[in-house]
Amino acid sequence: MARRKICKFCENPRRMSIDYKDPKTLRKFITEQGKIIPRRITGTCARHQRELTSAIKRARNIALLPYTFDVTDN
Amino acid sequence: MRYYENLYIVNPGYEDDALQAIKDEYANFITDNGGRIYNVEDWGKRRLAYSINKQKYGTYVLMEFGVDGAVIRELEESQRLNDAVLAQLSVRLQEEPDMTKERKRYMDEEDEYEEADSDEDAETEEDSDEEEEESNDADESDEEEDETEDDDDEEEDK
Repeated sequence: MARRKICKFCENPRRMSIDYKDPKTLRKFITEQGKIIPRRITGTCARHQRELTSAIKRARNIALLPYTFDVTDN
Repeated sequence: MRYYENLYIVNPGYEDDALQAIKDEYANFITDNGGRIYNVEDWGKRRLAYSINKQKYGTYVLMEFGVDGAVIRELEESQRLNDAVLAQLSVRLQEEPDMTKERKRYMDEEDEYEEADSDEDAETEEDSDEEEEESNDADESDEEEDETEDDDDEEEDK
């Protein structure tokens, strides 16, 4: 299951930076439900995953990202 | 001198003069207390990710400044007490803000938040998340995995 992905932020520090003010980038790392995606799936390195998590939580705090999406049942 | 950035959301009912009054109030608060402002950005009205005080939209204002320690506390308090301010967040910066570098433009796109699709198994959910990530990377060996996962989804719908 695990593939050898390179951390997107390590790879491209100039264009990919972690900022809680940047929901566009952050959105790629949350699920459809709004949950934070584990790094074994995104391939992010440990350090950036920690920064990501803080950034996502801050963004949620300031309503730039949701805490959750409403889930409709079938 | 410590450097902070402060992002606050103003009730969308406030516009033009009233909004400017609020922005000025906080900007002046900083300078009056011996601070130096590096940048003030008004992101305008934005859709909120969730409703605050029954509001769905808000005007975002960002301030970057340097100030002595006690002042930031007072600023936050003042914002929290202000009914016009729906929410705020202060972050301490590691270093003096560099205004010479080109800043990222955060708010170019209109953000629409979509309702999540129907909630299936946690397992299936993870699969669909992997599919999203795969499309970013276009990894050939991974596409085969995706096809298998698609089959699983279809079976569960039946």
